[in-house]
Amino acid sequence: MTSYLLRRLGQFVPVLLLATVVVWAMIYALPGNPAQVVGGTDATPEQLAEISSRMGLDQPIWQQFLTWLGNAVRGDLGTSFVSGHTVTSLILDRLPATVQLSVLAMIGIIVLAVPLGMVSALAQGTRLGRAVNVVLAAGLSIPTFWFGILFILVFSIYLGVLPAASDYAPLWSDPGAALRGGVLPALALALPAATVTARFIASSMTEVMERDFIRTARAKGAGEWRTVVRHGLRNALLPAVTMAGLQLGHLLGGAIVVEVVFTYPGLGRLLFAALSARDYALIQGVILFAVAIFLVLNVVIDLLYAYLDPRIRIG
Amino acid sequence: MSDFVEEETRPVPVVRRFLRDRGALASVVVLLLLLVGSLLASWLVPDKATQTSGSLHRPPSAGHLLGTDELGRDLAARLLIGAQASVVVAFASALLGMAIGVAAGLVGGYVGRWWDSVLMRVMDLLLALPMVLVALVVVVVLGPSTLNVVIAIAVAAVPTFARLARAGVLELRDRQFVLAAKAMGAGSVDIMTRTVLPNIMGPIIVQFVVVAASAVVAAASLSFLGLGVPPPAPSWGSMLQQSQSYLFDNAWYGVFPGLALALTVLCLDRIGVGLQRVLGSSGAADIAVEVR
Repeated sequence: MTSYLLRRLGQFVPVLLLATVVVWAMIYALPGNPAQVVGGTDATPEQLAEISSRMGLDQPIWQQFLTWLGNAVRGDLGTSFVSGHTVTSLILDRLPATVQLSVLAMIGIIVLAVPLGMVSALAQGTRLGRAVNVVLAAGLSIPTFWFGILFILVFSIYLGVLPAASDYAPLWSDPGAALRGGVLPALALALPAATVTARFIASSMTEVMERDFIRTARAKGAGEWRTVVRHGLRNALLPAVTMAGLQLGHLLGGAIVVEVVFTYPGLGRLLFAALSARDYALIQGVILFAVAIFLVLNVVIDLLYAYLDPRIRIG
Repeated sequence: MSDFVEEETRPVPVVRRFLRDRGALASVVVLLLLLVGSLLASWLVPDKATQTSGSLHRPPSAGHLLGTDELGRDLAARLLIGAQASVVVAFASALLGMAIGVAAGLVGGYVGRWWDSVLMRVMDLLLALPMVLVALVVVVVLGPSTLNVVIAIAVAAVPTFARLARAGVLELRDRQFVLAAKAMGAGSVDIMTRTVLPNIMGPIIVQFVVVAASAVVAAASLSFLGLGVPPPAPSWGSMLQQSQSYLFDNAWYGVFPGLALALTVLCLDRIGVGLQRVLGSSGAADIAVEVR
């Protein structure tokens, strides 16, 4: 396991470094010079020079990068020039809302995907199986934000049971408000991801159910339920772990759109607001943060997978 | 030699077997109808999508089949003409992503060495990130325009193509027919493009359709965030974005563009599944789902 861990980290570090270079370089790829972007079009040359030296733009480029990277590692991602707050504090402020949304959505994915995937695999050719496949195809085709709009139409406008604009409330201190605000965005996020995962589980399940050990389980007299759940599902879910990890990463990405649809105060909307205001330090900070999270999640998932499946860490 | 291989991998029965799949056939027909309808609309009633009128937020009626929007524009016309933006972005970005990704994968897999390591680390990074986020970064850097949206989605689509191509090359590199081509004096480029490439096209074509489907969604998401195809050209994503302010007055406005979007993605998805069945791609399915 240790050697696998080291190998995996050996892959992770260069990718993370590459990511920081790309995110850092982003601001330099923008048209115009960064000092101009910060100072605005009516800044005087003296102001520009002052901003340049404050931002360290007069230093050699590699030194600028290292300074920026060093600050980022220590948690200093700069200051949002729109709000005046530090980028780190803005991110930390919004993080719990997005994490809670992702967790709710993840629960939704698991609750929906496992049974749907199982039924799709086991009821192949029957009317039920076909019905499930239609549901899965539909779920796959509907983008997250349209689910959001449909939910608002149905639950907020026609039924009037849930708010169209969701507020964040911590789940542990105010579960009622948290669910009222979080259930629609979480469901909108979960549905497309759940259908992808369900398809994945279905194909994995179909493959597993044809294996010899399933026949052995049946032959030794294990009940159908036991065969399917203990022998089939447990093996079929193994590859789904990787899938779930990827989905979790993509939840955070899809959260941008969903949070905008529901005006949910999370990281996605922070990024959206930063994009609209061209608040570059904030854009850079949020993207760097998100990228780092994705990469770390990927490593964690791979390690989890290696832990669950010895073939990976030995092979 | 390589010409012979190329002939072999493009047999007619594949098309016929594909068309025997009723779902896939229906999907092709629906997409073609949509495209023809869209082109007809911009040819016959080019101004209808941008023409404002006094009748705002009307429900579907004989005069306006799908009703009107907040400026009294005809939603049916906007919907049909909006299809072009989706189709153009989807195919252009899938094509560009395929060209870059397959080239990178071929070179990485065939040449190996540090080329391979560097390319694959870059692909790892891109693959680790959700398509929308990558596309978002590219559009922020380049600025919103149709071309930049295409580039943005293509960049996000590159790694899966690269992985597929690389895996294919690694599998075929030491096969006898490749060695035979080498023995006959074929150069590296020739081997990669004329000997190896035709034999790994199956999964790549499937992936092309899968990417086109997710590109439709990604383009709509970008438009929805105000970073897509710039107005006044109608696009489904920006229509949905606008509809959100008027859901109370005009529920249809929020329904039809989404329906068009879902139908397009559904058809592309069915075509992808059908192609996968006839082209028999190994491993493509696993990587394909990662795109979303």
